[in-house]
Amino acid sequence: MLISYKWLQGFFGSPLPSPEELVATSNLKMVEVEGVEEKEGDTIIDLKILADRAAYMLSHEGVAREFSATLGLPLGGRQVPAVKSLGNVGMPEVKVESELCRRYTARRVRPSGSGVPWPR
Amino acid sequence: MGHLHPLTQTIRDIELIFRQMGYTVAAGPEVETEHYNFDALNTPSDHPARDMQDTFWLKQKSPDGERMLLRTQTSAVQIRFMESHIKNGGEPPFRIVVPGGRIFRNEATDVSHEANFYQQEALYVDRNVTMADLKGTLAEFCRKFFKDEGVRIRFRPSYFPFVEPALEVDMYWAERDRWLEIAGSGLVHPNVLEAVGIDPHLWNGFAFSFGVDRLMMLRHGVPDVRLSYGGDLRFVNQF
Repeated sequence: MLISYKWLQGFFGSPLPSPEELVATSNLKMVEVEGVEEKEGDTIIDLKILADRAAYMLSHEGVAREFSATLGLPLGGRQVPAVKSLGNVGMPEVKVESELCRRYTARRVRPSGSGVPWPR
Repeated sequence: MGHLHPLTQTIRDIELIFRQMGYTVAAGPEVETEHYNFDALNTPSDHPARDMQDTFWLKQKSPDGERMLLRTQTSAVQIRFMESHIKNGGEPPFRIVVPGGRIFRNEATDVSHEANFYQQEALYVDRNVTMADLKGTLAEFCRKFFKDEGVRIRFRPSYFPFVEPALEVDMYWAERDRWLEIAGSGLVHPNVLEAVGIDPHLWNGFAFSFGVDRLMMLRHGVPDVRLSYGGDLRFVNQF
């Protein structure tokens, strides 16, 4: 997973430690760093994301959260804007078929724009 | 009269050191079933970690109709040992070592990668086994193998499905002033113990695995892993 230092900085309100420090932190406390490259005034850090962290670290935002937790550095700056609710669109239908299912979450996704058909 | 290949020398040294620490030597087949290589090691067929190891699958099936492969790790021996140990009425504690087992990966070769190479494997199961036990054992092995009392090792977080937590082990290489990855390790995942009929609430353990080729290269300053398998006498005669 290639991470742009500049892009990563966008998720934080205060300046990040140097790329070298991020590399050392990641190696010892997060995931292995496979390479570092200087490119067009930016530093590109290649993180080796293994199967256990793939669910939340295969994105700049996920990596930013991980650095935030590891370094104790609050997130700020770039925020994903909250989407205004379209109103009551109804509950997705969920049928629980096994007692082993102790908890579920469901979300209904709908295309914005008028005249777009509902996904099946 | 001839002499032993540097890899054979390395494997024999590994065996001697672990015997002195009370380990029993174990071995397993190079052609494995999907069960021993993956499923019993907490890596079912839909597990994303299967992609971490490019596997040579065989066309023929086992007598039970199971898929077969060239083993991608010696960890399969852990399962074989524990299974037969428990079946024969044994129970923990136990300590086993595979001093050098050949393993196979379906990947391109370069100076640090071979499609087949040797792995050392160790497993210790007892009550209240800790990360400190693991680090102590690894450090003791390194001190003896490299004949250097000043060896420094460190842990880095990693992931292997059959241990939790999982670690990579680095050793400090003073000559080059850098840390070098030498082993993978961790505390045995409860699912692995459960799969062989050991109660993970009563017992736990650690497992680790060194790359034997890497150990040999470090000890002798060999720059290319492929030299070991080339059969070139100009290389072999130096040992």
